[in-house]
Amino acid sequence: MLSQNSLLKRTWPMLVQCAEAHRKPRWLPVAKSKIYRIPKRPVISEDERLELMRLHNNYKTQMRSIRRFYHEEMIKEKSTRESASSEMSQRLEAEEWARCVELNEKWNAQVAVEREERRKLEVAALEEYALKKIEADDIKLKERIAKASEEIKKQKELSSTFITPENLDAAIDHALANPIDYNFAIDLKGNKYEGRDTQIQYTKAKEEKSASATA
Amino acid sequence: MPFMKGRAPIRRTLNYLNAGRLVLKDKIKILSVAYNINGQNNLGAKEFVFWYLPQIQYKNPDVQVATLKNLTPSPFIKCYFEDGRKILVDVDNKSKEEILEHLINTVGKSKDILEQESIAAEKKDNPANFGIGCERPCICEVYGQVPCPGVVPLPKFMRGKFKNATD
Repeated sequence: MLSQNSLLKRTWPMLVQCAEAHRKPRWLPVAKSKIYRIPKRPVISEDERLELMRLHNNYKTQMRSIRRFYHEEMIKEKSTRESASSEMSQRLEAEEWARCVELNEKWNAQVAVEREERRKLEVAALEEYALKKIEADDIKLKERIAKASEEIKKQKELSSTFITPENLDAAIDHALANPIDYNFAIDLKGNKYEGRDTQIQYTKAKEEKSASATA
Repeated sequence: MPFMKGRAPIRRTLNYLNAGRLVLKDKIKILSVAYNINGQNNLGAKEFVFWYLPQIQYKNPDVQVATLKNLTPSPFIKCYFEDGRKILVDVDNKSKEEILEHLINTVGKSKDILEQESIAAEKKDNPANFGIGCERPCICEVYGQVPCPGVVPLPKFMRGKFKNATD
């Protein structure tokens, strides 16, 4: 009996007769009646086992030797082929290498010379710069010293007018005798009238102003 | 990286990368560039890294390209070969074009070899072939051919189910 699924799927084997009348589909589990059935191990007699082992060993040995023979032959052939062509290519490569190294060494030597020249120029420039800097620093220092000494001179001259403990009383007397009034007033025109008690002549100022305006 | 962002995004366009002229020899495994960012003598090396390193890396995907920034007093380029040999190129105070020319002359493949290789790469099998390892894996990709029945069912007159129907 064919399974229903296979009948549906296939168009071809309608007329083909199967060897077995019936076979359980793969996806079905073990039949209930066969769950606990344990198949018997095949019994092989000792003589037969030894004979089979001998035959198998012979077969394996022969096959291995054949395989190895072909493998070694392949390697040999490959190496001979390579050496024939590689000798030529190796020579070419060595020549190429020598050419490259020579070219490169020439380039490197040239670069070294150029660098040396450049370094010299750089060192000279650096030296010049340092010298200039030192000179400029010197000039600056001298200027500062001169400025400071001038300041000292000026202060020394001024020191004769300083108030000291000796002439303190005289200075106080002088200050008391000559009081200074810092108060002042400003009119609308920006004229400054110093002193707290200064008298201001308004009219006179006005007449003067008008006269100057008409003139 | 977004397409038109960053400094000189032209460096990432395919046309620019393909225009690189330095294809290193097969035996070169590492290319290292040492340079400083200060100084007039480092300017060429710096610009070389900026402009030509993307092209070099694109053209030589199997080469490790390393940069050593501000680690050495003077700029140089070092190439390491697979058998341990080294080539040291002093690039002090050289412009990026000079550096590139020199590298092409020394560690790059020559023009003849490049031409030979491009010709060898162009040689392919018959373009009409299809299948594994060919240009197209299936003939159904060609316009006008019958599509694969797994993708689109065959027309009925081609199918045995309908061709061989008995009733």
